Amino acid sequence: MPKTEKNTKVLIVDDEPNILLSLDFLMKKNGHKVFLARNGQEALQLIEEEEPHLVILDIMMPDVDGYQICEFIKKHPVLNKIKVLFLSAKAKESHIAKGLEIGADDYMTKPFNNKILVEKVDFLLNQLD
Amino acid sequence: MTVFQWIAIISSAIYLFFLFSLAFFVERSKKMSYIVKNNSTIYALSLCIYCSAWTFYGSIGMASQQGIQFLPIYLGPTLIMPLWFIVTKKAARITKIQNFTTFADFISARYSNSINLGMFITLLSIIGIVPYISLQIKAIYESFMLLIQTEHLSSSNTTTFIPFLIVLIMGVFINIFASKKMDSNEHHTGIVASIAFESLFKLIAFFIAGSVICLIIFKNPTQIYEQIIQENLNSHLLTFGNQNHFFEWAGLIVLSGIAIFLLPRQFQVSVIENVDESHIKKAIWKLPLYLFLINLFVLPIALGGNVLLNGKGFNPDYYILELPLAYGLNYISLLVFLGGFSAAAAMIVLETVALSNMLSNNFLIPLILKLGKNSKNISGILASKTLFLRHISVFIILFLTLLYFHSINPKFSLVSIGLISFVFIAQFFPSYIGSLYLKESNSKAVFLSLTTGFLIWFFTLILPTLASESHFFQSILNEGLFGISLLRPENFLGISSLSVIMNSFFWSLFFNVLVYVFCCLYFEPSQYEKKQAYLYVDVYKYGTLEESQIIWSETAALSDIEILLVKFLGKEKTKIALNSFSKRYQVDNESNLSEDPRLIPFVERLLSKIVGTVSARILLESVIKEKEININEMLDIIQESKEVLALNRELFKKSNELEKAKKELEKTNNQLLLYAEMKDDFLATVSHELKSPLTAICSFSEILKDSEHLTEEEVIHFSEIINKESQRITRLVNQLLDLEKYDTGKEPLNLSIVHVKELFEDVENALKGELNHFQSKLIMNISKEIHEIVIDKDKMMQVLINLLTNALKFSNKNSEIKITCFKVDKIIHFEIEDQGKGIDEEYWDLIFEKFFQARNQTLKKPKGSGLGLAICRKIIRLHQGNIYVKNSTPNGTIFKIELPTNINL
Repeated sequence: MPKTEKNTKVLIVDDEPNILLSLDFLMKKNGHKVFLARNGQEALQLIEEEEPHLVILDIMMPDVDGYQICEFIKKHPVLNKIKVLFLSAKAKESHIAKGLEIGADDYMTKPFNNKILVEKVDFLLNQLD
Repeated sequence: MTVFQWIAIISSAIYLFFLFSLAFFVERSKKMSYIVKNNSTIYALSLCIYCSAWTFYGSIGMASQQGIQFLPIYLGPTLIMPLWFIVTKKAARITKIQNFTTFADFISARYSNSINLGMFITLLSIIGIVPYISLQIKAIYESFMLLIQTEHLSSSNTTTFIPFLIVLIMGVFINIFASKKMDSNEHHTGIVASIAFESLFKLIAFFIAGSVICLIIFKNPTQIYEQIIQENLNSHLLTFGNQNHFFEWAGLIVLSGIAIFLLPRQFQVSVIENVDESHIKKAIWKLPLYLFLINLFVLPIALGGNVLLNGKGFNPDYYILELPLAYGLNYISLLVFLGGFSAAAAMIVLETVALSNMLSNNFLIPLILKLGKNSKNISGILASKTLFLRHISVFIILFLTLLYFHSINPKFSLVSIGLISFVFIAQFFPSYIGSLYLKESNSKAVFLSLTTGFLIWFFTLILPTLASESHFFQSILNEGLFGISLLRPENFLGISSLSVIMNSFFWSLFFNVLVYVFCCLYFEPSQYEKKQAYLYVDVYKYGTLEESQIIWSETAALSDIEILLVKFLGKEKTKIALNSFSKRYQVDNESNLSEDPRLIPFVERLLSKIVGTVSARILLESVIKEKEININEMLDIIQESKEVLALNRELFKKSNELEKAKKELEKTNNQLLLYAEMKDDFLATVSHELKSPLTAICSFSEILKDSEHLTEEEVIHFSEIINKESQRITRLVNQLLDLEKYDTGKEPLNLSIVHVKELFEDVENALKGELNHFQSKLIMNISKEIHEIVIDKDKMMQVLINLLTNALKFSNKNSEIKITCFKVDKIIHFEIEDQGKGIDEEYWDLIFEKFFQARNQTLKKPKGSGLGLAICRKIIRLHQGNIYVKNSTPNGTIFKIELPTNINL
């Protein structure tokens, strides 16, 4: 059961269904409105339609990869406010650096700690307010 | 004149024109020159110049009188071929290294006092060979007269005019194709080509004439022999005769065997004109084959002539020409005439080339140099006159020939003059062999033995022929020299059972060899001769260098040498030559160059190509003060030169090897980089594939631990997820380990005999759960001829289960999956066919790569580990089989496996 109903929309993008499921659970429990995308195309569509406040973004995906989606968001005249949190199995420093360079707000590696993730999401969303 | 006479004259002219054109064309065309120089058959055909008009006409004449006695002349060369090969190869090697242009060069350069020796050999050769050349002119003249059979032409005018015309044409031919070049060492490809052609032509002409005589004039060859036996006509011709004949046979075999080495024309074609030593080896069967072929018809024609023409005043030498004429076959006779003309003309040309080269290079030029020793500009004058001297030499030889022709004693047959020349030439043999094989050989031995041999030759062979012309000679013939009966020319030393030729041959060579051996033992070779001995006798050891003939330790000023060279070579060639020298021995600066002991020999070689070795040495003596170096110094220098050259070669080889090694290293390096990249890639993919399930497990286990308000359903669901993802990790790890085992060969096949039916049933059982899950059906099909196969059952099951699971996963529910097994041509085929969407053709190969799906993110997310097909391929390859995929019609995928029936490990 969600703690408190917030008005925040979080989009989760990942091609692993079970990871998607756990993130969905965590975010809902934290009171966010959650949208799920299993690939890049779906993600882009939802970003434009729903204008989420934050996107939890995997990098390695079929079709469009996470970097491209992040760039799309950060270069968009209207949507660039959306917070982007990368959540990827790619753990090399170069990958992290690249992610932050193209404008991501934070970067977490898989496997992740639920609490830290939730904290980070909250922290980023608080910046918007 | 009749039409045939005109035709005969015109076709002779056309044939001559053709020979000129052939020689001209070959000289002009680089391609043709190359072919002529590199064809061993052309070399062998040019050696067949041995068969002159003597063979063409004379053999028949001899056979008609003495039967098979004509054969030893051809058996000799045939039998001696192996020895000829060894000696000629060595002589050719020496000649090539030292740039000899004549036989006189070859012998005289070996000894001190070489100028005089060269002149001596030149003079002797001219004396011995000119009659033999005249013989050829006589043959051409007589055969031509017989052919055109005209009374009013045979006046004294024609006897002068026709031979003169022949000589003139030959002289022009030689001057165009042999003497026009400054460099007399250059190969006369044009002449060699025309001679080879003539050899072929005379063989064909002889064959055609022989066939016509045997098959048309006589109905068949046996008729000739039958007629001889019936009419009891000279049937002794078919036997070997009495014991004396055996001496005759043996003697003639040895005599002609020697002639094939040393007749000037033979030495010219076999040694001087030789381009490739391997040709010599091939000639040892090609030449005897030719000799065999050209002699096939000699006896039938001779005997046939005896049967039909005997006692009617015909010259037996020309039976081959007369027989067709007598039977109205004029055109066959024309062909015969042209064949005989070929044989004679080739001999005249080459013999004249050889002799005129000797005359100019070993006689006239040294003579001028000697006489003009005090004149300062002698080398300049000589340089401008060298060509002229060569042209003039040709005509001198031909003029002498003509002169002799007009004084030929008509009682001599073609064969007898030929044999006289043979005996004469044989006198060179001991010196020739000695020069090549005896280090003790010296100039005194050569001079004295040659002189002895020739004196005895003259005394026993020439003097008797002159007897009729003088009482003095007559008395010697009858009573012996100084009245001593042992010194009667024809019964020398009291032996009377030998023929005139054999008598002379035996005694002249006997004393020749005796004197030669004695002088070799008695006289010490000079310093120079000792050095030369190394370069001749040990040519295979020391003679690989052109500059091996090192005579001078003193050096000359480079400018003097250059001036001398420019006179003979011209500026440009001189520069090129000196550059190539300094490059070859790595001598770069000028003072080093002029002090290099190899320079003088190098220059000498260059000059000797133009004026001959002897003259070249005289020319060089004018610019240097000679101080001979000792043998050890010389051998040291040769050794050093060889080492430098070997070092160069070694360095070149080494640098090539280094370059090659470098390239190989680069290649290996690139490959390693590629492997490293592939490994990184692989590890990244593996870690990603491991992290995905791990992430889910971590997250959900944390949720289960921390969240207190979970519903029971949620707890169960999340636990299930954790369990599934754990299994996924386990599967992945197992497959990775499998793959590693197969890759490294740690897991060999465990082969056994397996029933296909059993295998399929086991697979079906293993898949029961999956089949139920997808509600699909497995249709199995095993063809009748297959019962048992040899495989690793566990691994094959793994493959089939993997493929079938894939098939199920990629098909809709309620579909049919087919598995088939059959055999074609000793190959066992398995096919797994589904009714799914199929696979794009571009991925047919790629899907068998590890993690193909994971790395190609444009595809759908994989439903497996990404290693299944890679493992399948590995297993099939371990079975020495093949696996591939195709789309089946109308839709679906079909995986095909081919296994050999005879797997061996």
